[in-house]
Formats: sequence, structure tokens, C-alpha cells
Amino acid sequence: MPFATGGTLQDALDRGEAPAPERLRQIAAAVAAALGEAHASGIIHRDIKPANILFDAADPAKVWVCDFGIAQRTGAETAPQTPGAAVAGTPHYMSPEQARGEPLDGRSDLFSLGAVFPLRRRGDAVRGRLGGRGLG
Amino acid sequence: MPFAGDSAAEVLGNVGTGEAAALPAGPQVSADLADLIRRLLAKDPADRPRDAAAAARALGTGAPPSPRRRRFAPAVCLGAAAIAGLAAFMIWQVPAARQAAGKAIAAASDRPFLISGQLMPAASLAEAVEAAADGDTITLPGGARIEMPGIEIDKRLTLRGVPGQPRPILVSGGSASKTSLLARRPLRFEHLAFESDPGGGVNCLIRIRETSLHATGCRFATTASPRPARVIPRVLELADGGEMTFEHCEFAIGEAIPIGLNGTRRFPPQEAPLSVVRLRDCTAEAEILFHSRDWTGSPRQRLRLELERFRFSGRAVFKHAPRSPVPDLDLRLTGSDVEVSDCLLWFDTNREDEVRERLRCEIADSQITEENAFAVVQRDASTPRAQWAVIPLGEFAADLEGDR
Repeated sequence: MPFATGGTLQDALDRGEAPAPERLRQIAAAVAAALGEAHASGIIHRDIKPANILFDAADPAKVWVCDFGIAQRTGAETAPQTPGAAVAGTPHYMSPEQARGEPLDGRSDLFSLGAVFPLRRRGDAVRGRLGGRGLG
Repeated sequence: MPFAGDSAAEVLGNVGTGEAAALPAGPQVSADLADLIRRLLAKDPADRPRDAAAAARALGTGAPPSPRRRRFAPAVCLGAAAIAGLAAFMIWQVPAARQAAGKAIAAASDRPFLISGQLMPAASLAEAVEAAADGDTITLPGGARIEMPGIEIDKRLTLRGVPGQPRPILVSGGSASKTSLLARRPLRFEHLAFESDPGGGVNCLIRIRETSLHATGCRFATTASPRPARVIPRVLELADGGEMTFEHCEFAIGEAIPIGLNGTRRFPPQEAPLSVVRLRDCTAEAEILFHSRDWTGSPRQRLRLELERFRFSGRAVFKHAPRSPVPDLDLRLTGSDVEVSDCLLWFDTNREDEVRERLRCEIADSQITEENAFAVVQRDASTPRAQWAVIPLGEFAADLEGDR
């Protein structure tokens, strides 16, 4: 895979090299542009997450979206999509409608894209101060 | 990751109820970006940016997001034009074997169903072909006009349009190349349109050399422009043997040869290449559907034409080129509706004995009438039609399963 040589966003996060918010914003813009192409062709990715966002080694400004393994066409039957796996996708980045197994459109991928940004739950900071581990 | 949670089910539950109001973390997040992230994460899709293009614009420019509450049809973007200045092609790789393996894994567990695949944007068909791996599928945007400026393909590829959208239209490119697309490995076309310009200076739009082409749901057409005096351009050409299969395809061809059968390499006499062309559930309007050409220098070719539920109107289904050896020709017609003004098969030779030796026909359930079910042998290329030998196809009847 000539375009995967720059590693994934997940690789960068694992190394503790989380991009600054504005850099992440540029990456997300590139991913959104790629998703626009996919959606225009009737394809929903359904598994947008840092491990599926690849950097181009030659051109750091270039970003690839990979793993359309669970992608599906808009308007296609959604649930259950594969036997024994009623909900496909990676839970942490999954949109509410995808988690519920409802019919999806491209906006489900936009939720997952939003989830790529570092976030905290409202109230997590307070619980953190109290020594709890959040809603767990 | 957005929400804490140890197990998938827990997180699913959290996300499913939408209980969590997530906040972008980190002090450097601008108010504008924080607002945008919150909109991306809106529980109701209607509260998110209306489509990926809008999200890309908002993320890319830092422009203020569009109004909050806008309702759109559930299927976003279907048929939407490509974003200006951005990539127009996709390579979507889901090899069938791996897909099947992935399904088996998914059936055995509740884990997410993942198969390897990539999406990448490309600026042109040539770039997409260059970047594609063996076995990849290249999806072309619906309705787009795509140039083929002398593209050579040395890997197995599928080029496809998106079902339900207008077919992408593939045309010759602006280069001086005489062949717009040359494939040396198996190629598949799905839901595409091809447009050939007979006067455009391209001799052949698509050439398949010693490999196979499978086309489904495609349309092959010519523009109205007249061809140059000396050249008859081919839309498709099978060179040096190989197979072409067309299913549910349509040919609307003016001044060009829809399917040319060509020999460009010298083969030892024993290894004459076999060319197979199958048409199933196809319709064609053309002067002559198959044209054998330029066998000069190569030994006798072997052709097998299988036409099943095929509708044709034109002068002749097959025309043998003058001054070339009569090929071994097997013709099978099943359930077809063929209306020819001249003849079914037309041999431009004065060697009637050779035609009788080489031609075998099997015609089943065909609506071909006795008036046109014949082969014509032109006894002398310089003489008028009166000199033709007209032979009923029944005289060539054979069981094609048998060996020659």
C-alpha cells in the first residue's frame, strides 16, 4: 500500500503524538472531503476512526481514508447487516443511529468524524477531581 | 475516543441513549472548532452539517457553520456532483475472497465486521489505475465524462459506475494515442457508458490483448461525427485472442466497428489464438457487429461467437476481412432476434471451399428467418453482388461441443 506509509492517526495517538487541534482540524477537513466523494457515489464508510485515517509519507498534507470494509451503499438494507453482528462499526466512534441499527446516511460518518477529536463527557472533570473513573 | 466505557455494549448504550453531552477537550480548541465538533456529534443527524462537503468546508476554512437546524432528505448526496477541485475517483478494494472470510468471522462473533479496503482519491482515471492494486475496483462518479488518454492496464481491475446513478461516460483522451484503453489483464466493466468519436483520430477505444473483458449493464455508442475515409475505427477490439463477455449491454454504433477481432502478433501455426465473444441479453444497432481484420502475418485464427437472447439490426453480424485467411469460426445463436439486411455472415474471399471447411453453426430457438440465415462468400472482391455465393447456414450445422 504505497499510500499507507505515513502511518495512521491511531499510530500517532499511540505514540503520544496527538496532533494539535488545528492540525486535527485540517486532517478532519481532508477526511470530510474524501467522505464527500464516497457519499456522492452512494457509499457510507460506517467505521471512521483514527486507525482508518492514514498519512501520506511523501506529503504530510495528504490524508487517506481506508478500510471501507463495512461500508455500504445508501438506501441499502441496514440491520441486521451481517449474521451474528447486528451492529457493525467501532463502538467508540459509532453514531447513535448506527448503534441502534437504524438506516444510515452520510451524516452518520460525520458523527464518527467528530468523535475523532479528543473529547470529555460533561461532568467527567468533576468526577475526575473526586477520584472516580467517570461513568465507566 | 469520545466517551469512556469499558465494553462495547456499555458504550453502545451510552451513545444509543445520547445521554452524554460531549465537550471538546483541550484548552487550545477555538470556540469555532468546539462548536463545529459539537455539531458533528449532534445526536440528531438533522443537527449535524448537512453533508460531508459542508463539513469539509466548515473544517477547512474555519468559516462559521451553516444554520443549525436544516432538514434534508435522508439519503444525502446521492447523485451529487463531485466537489469542485477535489478528487473524482475512488478505488474501493474489497477482494471477494477476503470479503467471504470476513463474513465467516463476523458470523462467529459479535465483533465488528472488518475487511481490508482502501478509499483513495485520484485526479484522473490514469492516476487511479496507477495507484490501484491487482484486483481493485475503481468507482467512477455517476454521469461524469472521463477521458482515457491512452491508458494501459497491467492488473486485474473492475471499473464501475454506481447503480441507480447515471452511467459515467468514458471517452478518448486528448492524446495522440491510437488506442484509448489497452488491457493485458482481466478487466470488468459495470454500469458504464462508452462514447467513441469515429472522426476523433483514435483507431480503437478499448483493446483487450490476450486476456478477458466482462461487461455488464454497459452502453457502447458512437458520436455522430463521420469517420475519416481510410480508417474504420473500432470501439472494442480483441487482439491476439482472449475473451469478451457482454451481459445486458447495448451497442448503438454509427461509423465504426463495434467489436473488432485483430491479430497483431505472429503465432506458430499450431498455436493460433482463440478469440471468444459472448453476448447475452444484449441489443445492437450497427452496420456490422464483428469484423475480423488484419490477420496478415498471423496464422489462421479461431473464433467462437456465442449470441444468446440477442437483438440485432444491421447489414451483417460478422464480416471477414479481405486478403486474410478464413478463420475457424464457430457460431452459436440461441433465442435471438436478428434482422440483417444483407446476410448473417459475410466472407470476403473467393475460397468457398475454405469457408465450407472452417465454418460451423449451431442455431437453436432462433427467430432468424430463412431469408437471411445464410453466409455470403464474395467470389471476387472486385465483382458486383451477383458474383456472391449464398449458402444457407443449415449447410454448416454442427454440434459445437464436438472437437474439430
